[in-house]
Amino acid sequence: MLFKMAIRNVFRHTRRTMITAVAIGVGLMFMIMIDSLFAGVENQTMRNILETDNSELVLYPAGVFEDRFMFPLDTLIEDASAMATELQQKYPDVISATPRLRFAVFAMAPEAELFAFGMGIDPETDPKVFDLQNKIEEGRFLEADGDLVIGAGLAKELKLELGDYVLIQTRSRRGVMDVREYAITGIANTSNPLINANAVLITLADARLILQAPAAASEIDLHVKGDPKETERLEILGSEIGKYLGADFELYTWLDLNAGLFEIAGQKKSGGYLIGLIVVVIALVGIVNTMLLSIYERIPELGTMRAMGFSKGNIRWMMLMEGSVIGFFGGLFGVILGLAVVIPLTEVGIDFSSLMGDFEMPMPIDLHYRGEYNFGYMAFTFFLGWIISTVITLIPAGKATKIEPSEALRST
Amino acid sequence: MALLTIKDLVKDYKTGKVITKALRGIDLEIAQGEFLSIAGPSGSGKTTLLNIIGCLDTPTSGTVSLNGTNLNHMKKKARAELRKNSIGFVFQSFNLIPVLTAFENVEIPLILLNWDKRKRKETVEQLLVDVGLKEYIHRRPTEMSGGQQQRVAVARALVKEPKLVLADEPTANLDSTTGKTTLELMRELNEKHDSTFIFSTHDKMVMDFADRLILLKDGKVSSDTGGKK
Repeated sequence: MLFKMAIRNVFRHTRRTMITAVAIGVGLMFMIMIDSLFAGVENQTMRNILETDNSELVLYPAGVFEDRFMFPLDTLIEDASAMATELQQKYPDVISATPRLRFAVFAMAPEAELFAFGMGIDPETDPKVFDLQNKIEEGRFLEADGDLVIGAGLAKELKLELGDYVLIQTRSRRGVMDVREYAITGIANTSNPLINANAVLITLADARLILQAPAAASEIDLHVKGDPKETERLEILGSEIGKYLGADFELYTWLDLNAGLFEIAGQKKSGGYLIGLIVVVIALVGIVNTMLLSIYERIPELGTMRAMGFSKGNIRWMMLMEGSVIGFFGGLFGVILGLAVVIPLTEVGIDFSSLMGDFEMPMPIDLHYRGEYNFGYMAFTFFLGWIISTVITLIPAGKATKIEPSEALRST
Repeated sequence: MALLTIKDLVKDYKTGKVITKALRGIDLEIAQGEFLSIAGPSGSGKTTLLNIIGCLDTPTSGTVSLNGTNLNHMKKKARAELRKNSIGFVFQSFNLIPVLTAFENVEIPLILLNWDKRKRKETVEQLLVDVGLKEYIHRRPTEMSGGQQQRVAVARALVKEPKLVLADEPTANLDSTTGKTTLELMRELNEKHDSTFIFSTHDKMVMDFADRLILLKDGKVSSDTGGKK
């Protein structure tokens, strides 16, 4: 009977109930939208990193991890290609492996000069780990020694086009200065600013020759089976490989290598959730207001119920159910509105590239934002809206139970 | 033994620094099955007295005993239990629950007493037939006239066959014909169930209809006429 009364009371003022539920729904929709957007950006960032810069698991010589952006050449993995093949054969979870040799570069063009970083890539094995070959905007990917692929942003800064010549100055591991001229055979355009704005890609063989580091590499990138987000699994595999290779080597997951980036993203995400939560709290103030209004309208009725022998617990329970019903619809609206926003956000996305022009994002994020479907989170927000609405109704419900029947009946 | 014994009942209301003396020492004895009316001008203390008898309010001093149980010593929860089990209320504005049908309104007291569904249905339907509302069982209060609503309220007060029915100006919102019909109905039910009916009123018709008339003036009993059963 209490449930029946609660349901009917809620729909006594259908418009008011629906406005309150929609307000809660809008708050939840913001939470769902923010989650979708951040999950989308996070996944895009992860994909961009994995497609261009680091694989799921990366092998370094021991002790170079902290200084890896200084491109030290004194500690390299010797006989790296053989080791990459061995690791791929020994560990079934390793789908493919490729060595990369990174080095500091001074790129000189007729109209500009810039510091950049060079990367020696094996044209045969690299495409099995990364996807750079599909990021070529003009020309072609590395095929033979003497080819050079340059990041689109760097090419623009150096005012270079496909086919133009560029001088690459570097210092070998023995300290010998080397300058070579390359014709640009490809221009890469990726969503990773590290590659786009800074990278000069040549074949691994060329890089080894220039750097006087035959058969060496600065890292071996291992493409591992399964979901890259399962970093614990990657750590276990890394630890197994580490034990096999001994103390001269260290393995890191893609997340270890980009921890700072994801820490910032995490903070932004928390900020986003906070905004969503504030909207939900504002909406919940609405439900308290609606319930209080409903109680003040029904004081004589509540007095009658108390006179008939309804206990305070009965009244509180009925009020909680009323709040719960509003919360249920609020949660439902939240999911429906959330889906209405997330579907176009995921399927179509928001393209900021025309707005941002040539601005290079400091993080590997696409300027065409796309959301992600997170049905688990949608279910969570539904229950969050429902439960919090129910719990917060304890405030007006407490008010209702304090009404003395004699006073309530006097206001008839 | 009297059903209700009231001794030196005093009730003061305090509003800020102002104290209003609503009851100034009432002494009454009311027997089981009485059909009595408490009358008096506005502010004489009729509703206050009914509220205290009905465990809706507590006295400042004095005692009210129902079947020998002193109501003053009861906690709120126990008073709520007593109301639920033994007292029926009829209000001037009917006070039906607007979201419930006539049937459901009358059914509520039985649900609170945990009657089983089948027995509830039989009892409520029979009572609604008795009060002449067979056709209105599934109507909500807003779909009924004032007289019909008051009959539902009377049925609701009587459905659990309480020892005591308190009616605060039950005919005040009804025309004279409907008021008379309602009183006759209550009389009939009083005789049938031997419930004690106490009305507060300043309606001459109600005063004439009652077996016993207690007049209140300035919070005191100014006259008590008519026989006890």
